[in-house]
Amino acid sequence: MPLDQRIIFLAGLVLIASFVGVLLVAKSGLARKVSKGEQVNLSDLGALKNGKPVVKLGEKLTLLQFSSDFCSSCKQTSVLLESIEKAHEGLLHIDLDLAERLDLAKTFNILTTPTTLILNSKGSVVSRIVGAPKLATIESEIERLVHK
Amino acid sequence: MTQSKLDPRGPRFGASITTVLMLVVLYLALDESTYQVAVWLMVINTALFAIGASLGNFKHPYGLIFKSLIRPLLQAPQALEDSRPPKFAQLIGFVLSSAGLVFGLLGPDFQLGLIICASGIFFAAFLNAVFNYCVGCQIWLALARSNLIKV
Repeated sequence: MPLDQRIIFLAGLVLIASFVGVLLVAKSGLARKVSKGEQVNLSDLGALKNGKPVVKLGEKLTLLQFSSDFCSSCKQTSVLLESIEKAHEGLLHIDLDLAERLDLAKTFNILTTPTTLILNSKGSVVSRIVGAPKLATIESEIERLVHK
Repeated sequence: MTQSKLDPRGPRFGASITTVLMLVVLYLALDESTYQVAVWLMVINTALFAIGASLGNFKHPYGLIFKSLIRPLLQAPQALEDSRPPKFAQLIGFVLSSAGLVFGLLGPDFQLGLIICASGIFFAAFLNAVFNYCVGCQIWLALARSNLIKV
């Protein structure tokens, strides 16, 4: 292949990868409102928090995060959501490892980690965040859902 | 199980080198006169992924270069990262690089296979290096859900 065609091929590849990267970053961590969300039953999740079974949802909201060991942004998300939980009364953060409960990925149609479902006080999914969320995204969702 | 922690900038530094290396491989593989050099570079790249996938980032040559030459020039990281996600990403890279190498060894008739594999590695490494995109976050669950890896 002539030199100029090779250069064009490589430049095109870099351009496409850059475009895909910008698109992925823009899409990741956005909150999507869920109108008729699934009902989450705590006993089905078998979630643990600080080594103890979670038996009660958050009084206002529950941030249900699905993670995996092979995802670096899951840990960052967990730290962020934990700090948000501490800053808001009536909020509960649960972090579930999908490696232990792969069935839940199918139940909640989770394709990537981290995925965070925001549940209302009755356990219905009211918001869905795919990817690592930003602090401002979660804060505005809390504002929307608690003070609506 | 003890989880070792690493500076998250280390794997991104390695991904930057892989990005450049894959561009060189693609450039060389697109011409028959330099095809063999591209195959040799794929041998080296596959060996490097094998080290990363089996021994982790700490023992990987890129990790060692980062630790000895780059890390002392930088400020301390804001947070450390679990070493398992980058190790998993290295395994994905190893599989793709091995496939590319097989195509390369089969000769220029299989040029397209080598180019597709090298482009795939380039994409993942580029997204990781430039956008801090987590390949493991996307791929692990897809593989686990389709029963391609055992959980």
